[in-house]
Amino acid sequence: MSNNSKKIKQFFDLGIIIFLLLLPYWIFAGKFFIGGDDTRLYYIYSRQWLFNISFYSWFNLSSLSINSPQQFMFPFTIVWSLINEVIHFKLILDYLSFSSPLIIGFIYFKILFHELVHNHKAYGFEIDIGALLFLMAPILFVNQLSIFLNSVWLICIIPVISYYIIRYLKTGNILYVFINYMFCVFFSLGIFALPWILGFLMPLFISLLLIYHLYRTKSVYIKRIFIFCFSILFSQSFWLLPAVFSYLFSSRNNVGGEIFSTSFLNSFTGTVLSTASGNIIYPLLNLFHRQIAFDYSWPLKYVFINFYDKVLFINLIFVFIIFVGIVNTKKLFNSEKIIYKLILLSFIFSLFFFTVNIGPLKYAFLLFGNIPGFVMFRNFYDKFALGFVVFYAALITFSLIIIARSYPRIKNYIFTIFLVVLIVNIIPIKQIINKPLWTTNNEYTTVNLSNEYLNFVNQIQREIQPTSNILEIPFNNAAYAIIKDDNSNNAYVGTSPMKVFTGINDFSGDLSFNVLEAQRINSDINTRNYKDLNKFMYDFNIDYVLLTKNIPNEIKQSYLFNSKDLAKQDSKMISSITNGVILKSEFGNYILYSAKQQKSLFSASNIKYVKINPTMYRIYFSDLKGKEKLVFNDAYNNGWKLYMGNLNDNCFPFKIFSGNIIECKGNEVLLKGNELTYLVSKNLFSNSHLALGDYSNDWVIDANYIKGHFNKNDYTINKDGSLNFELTLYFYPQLYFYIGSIISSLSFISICLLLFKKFYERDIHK
Amino acid sequence: MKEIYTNKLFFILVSLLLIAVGVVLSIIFNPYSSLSVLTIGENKANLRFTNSTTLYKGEKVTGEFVAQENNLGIIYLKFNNYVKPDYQSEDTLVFRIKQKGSGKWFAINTYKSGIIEGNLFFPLGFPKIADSKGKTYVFELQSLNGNYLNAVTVDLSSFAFASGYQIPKSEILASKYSFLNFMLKKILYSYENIYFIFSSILYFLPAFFYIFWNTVLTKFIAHKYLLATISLILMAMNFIYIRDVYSGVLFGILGLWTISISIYKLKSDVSLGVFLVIFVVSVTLIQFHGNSDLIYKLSVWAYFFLVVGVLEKVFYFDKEAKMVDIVDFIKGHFKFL
Repeated sequence: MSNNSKKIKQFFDLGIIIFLLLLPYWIFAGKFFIGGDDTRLYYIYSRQWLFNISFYSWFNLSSLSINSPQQFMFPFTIVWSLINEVIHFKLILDYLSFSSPLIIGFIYFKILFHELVHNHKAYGFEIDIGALLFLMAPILFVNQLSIFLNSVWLICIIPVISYYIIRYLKTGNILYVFINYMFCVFFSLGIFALPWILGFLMPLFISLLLIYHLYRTKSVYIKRIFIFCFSILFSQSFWLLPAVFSYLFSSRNNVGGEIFSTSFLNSFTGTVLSTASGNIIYPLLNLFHRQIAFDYSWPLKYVFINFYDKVLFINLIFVFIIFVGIVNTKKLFNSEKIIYKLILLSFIFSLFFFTVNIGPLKYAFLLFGNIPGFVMFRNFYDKFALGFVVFYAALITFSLIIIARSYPRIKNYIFTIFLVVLIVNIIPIKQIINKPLWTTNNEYTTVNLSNEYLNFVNQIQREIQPTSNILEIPFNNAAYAIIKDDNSNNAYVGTSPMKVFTGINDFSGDLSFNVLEAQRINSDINTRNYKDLNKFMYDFNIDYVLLTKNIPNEIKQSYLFNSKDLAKQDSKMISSITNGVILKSEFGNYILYSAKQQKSLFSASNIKYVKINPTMYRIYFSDLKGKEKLVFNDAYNNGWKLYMGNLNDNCFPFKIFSGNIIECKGNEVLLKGNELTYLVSKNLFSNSHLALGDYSNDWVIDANYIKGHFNKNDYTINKDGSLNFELTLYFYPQLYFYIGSIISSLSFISICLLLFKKFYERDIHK
Repeated sequence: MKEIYTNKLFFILVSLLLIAVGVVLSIIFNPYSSLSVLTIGENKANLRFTNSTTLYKGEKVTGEFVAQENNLGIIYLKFNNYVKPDYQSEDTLVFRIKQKGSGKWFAINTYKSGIIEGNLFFPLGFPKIADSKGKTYVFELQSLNGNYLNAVTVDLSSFAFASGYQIPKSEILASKYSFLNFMLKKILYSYENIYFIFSSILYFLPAFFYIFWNTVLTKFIAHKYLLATISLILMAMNFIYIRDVYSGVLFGILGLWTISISIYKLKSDVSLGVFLVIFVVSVTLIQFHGNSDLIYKLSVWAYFFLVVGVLEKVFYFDKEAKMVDIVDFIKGHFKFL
């Protein structure tokens, strides 16, 4: 390669990286790209997310609580919080989070192909445009970038892991296992997106099985593959262990129970049949399934009508490139052939999985629904999209290299046309990603969170006890909060961030509850049955009602609200379910009311309690004689265990409830030093732990048992013979996170030791 | 001599057995009615339309027939290919049925038009009429919101409407005679339906390929590319004459194509070439005529030719040098023609 062409190539690479870095500034025009089901708030409020959510297995975010371990977010939120300390501009952080998977994906896709291709230096340009095709595929705009769920990190994770496994297979150097380990820990939030990973791995494994017999595999490779895969597995133990246990140990309100529920399992056929309306034409032309966009009236429909439908013909170049590549495979070197075959077969399978609607194959896919766990692919057009794009881009990159070898004289013309078509396909990216809210025409969701709202939630955090729940009004069809921008009509539309900002859970819509409860609250609102609504609120420990007054009209008329229900959420309803205003925001757009009836998190007589963190509470009992019922007003789960606590009745009252129940003010801490001792400690009164209704946990506390089984230092006796003592209520599955972390740490140390050993041996040889 | 007779007898027996298996499987897995339903084709001349076969707002199709059995419970109506619009834009169709002369409708049902997509021989169900035999019934299907974007069109090409009779299991299994009588009727009525015949082809493929392999295959080997050409012509005819994608037709023709690859030693390029031609035709049609059901059908065939080409490429990677490439195949064709 001449110096000039080398410089041009470097310039081209740099240009692409700068383009990817600046892309969000153009798309979002200075507003935050937050909202949706995942909220994406962890990119700009990582610290809050870390302390309120990502450390714990007991989870609620504008929802009923559930055993759903969130530690997969833990390493990322730590690192991102540290970056936040350096970069104070939240907008830069937000946009960096958008660019990062693309830039890392671009770099690693390139160096991955350097490993796969013979004499890669001669094909730098081909690999570059192949990598650009991978990142700028319109399917990715629709499926990943516009939604920006955690799975978006797979755009970089897949090339990263693929690169390091190939390097390790080739060299046996443990350094690659180590670097990959670090990547996997940091990007565990992406690895958690298991269905999308399987959407990539499934076609790959089927292809591997098909061509395995064609080649003799050296045992050393098999050994290295095992070491590499186990290193990934161990790197994820810290979240994988609690997640696996939450599936294995069934209890009410476990995430496993939800996923394996009959209604979820039965949804497979219906969902597939109603969405399998596409065909293979559009994916092969590098486009998302047009028919699905039309069936569900996605904003993408208008992008097709206004743009892609008009340039469809030029996209044929992608199919021609693939065709010419396959026909001229004799130009491949032997080392490249096996990889090419693997990619080609995987591409065919992923095209089927991504499309499904291929004549009789649709019914074959429906039969797969009988395989346990396959129900996760009911949204096949989503889960298999990323895998398809990876294989599509890899196949085209190989095809470009084959063309360069087969037709060296005209290759530059072909590549120029290819690049032009690629750029043409990128043009509507802004329209696809920064799109109006579904079923609205002009309501965009990129936003600057209003100071009025942020100040208001700060006030709530200071003045409201952390164990209460808030009901958000207007109550919507999702579990969303709508927070209007100060300077425009744009609004944050996504899962309510109340928990993130305050640590206090709220219920904002139907999806905050289970189906029957959502039906009940909607029916109560609709029929103005405030007696039952008040009871409902009391049962679910809802002490406050938050009214949002500045929701834009177009959002009120969108899919998020039922107009009949919305009309009934008026001043009459507010006055019927609240006692009066507690807090009001600066401009009066947010008002917090106290509920008619308030309830403490724990019910028993003469108790004080304090929240240590979402998985631990200390409860101080005074004057307990004989047996007494203790009720914990949170979702039932048999993971909640009572342990004997250290006698300590220091309490700064936060709120006093009837029955002499006092909630104390406490400083929340992530981790108490003694938590691991619960592994060997005996928990108390577990035989009496029952679900009281759907929402509460119920124990019978026996003073005589305490007296008979514990040291006198653990309790005090009053003159009348009653006892004072302290119990700790702990969510036992949280311990699996610590055990998993120990496994991850030990595996990390082992890899480090192997690495040191390798360096030491190398020095000796020198 | 004796050996030849034995072989022929064996061939005839196996062929008959495979055909019988085909008949049984086609009845069991009949996509147009369940095992206990008798579906009888009715005269399409008895259908009346307000204006045309496309049902716009307020328009309706009316039909009349004499029930030939008891337990009438379904009316099947054949529709043209339908691509459903988005949910909010779908038409609403109202189905009504009554005995002729009765002042009151016996049953009224409402359907969203989207349900017709992929279910073109659509069953309009109603409570079973136990004593329907010999009586004349009138039905109608009316559009409430049909417009040029969402209107459904009744297909008058063949087997436009049929009546369905849900025979109780107890009646079918009452005696050997009643069972045989039911099965005979079921087979005879079923094979009156052209769509049923297309759907059944899949179950007769083992018989077809067995007979094909043992009788005429050697003749095709002698004529270069003849079988491949016939496969491609059959595929083209399928695009023109058969509206839906039938697995039997698809796998039958692909089977012939695969045999062609094997006997003429065609490289993967040839299958991939067919894929490319179908694909380019599809995109051209989309560009000039928009999406239609033909595009879906073309895309299905394109995928299967792509799969055949890719599998051949993967598993015969290094053996392809000695095989017939796409240029030779085309040249050979011109010679042949």
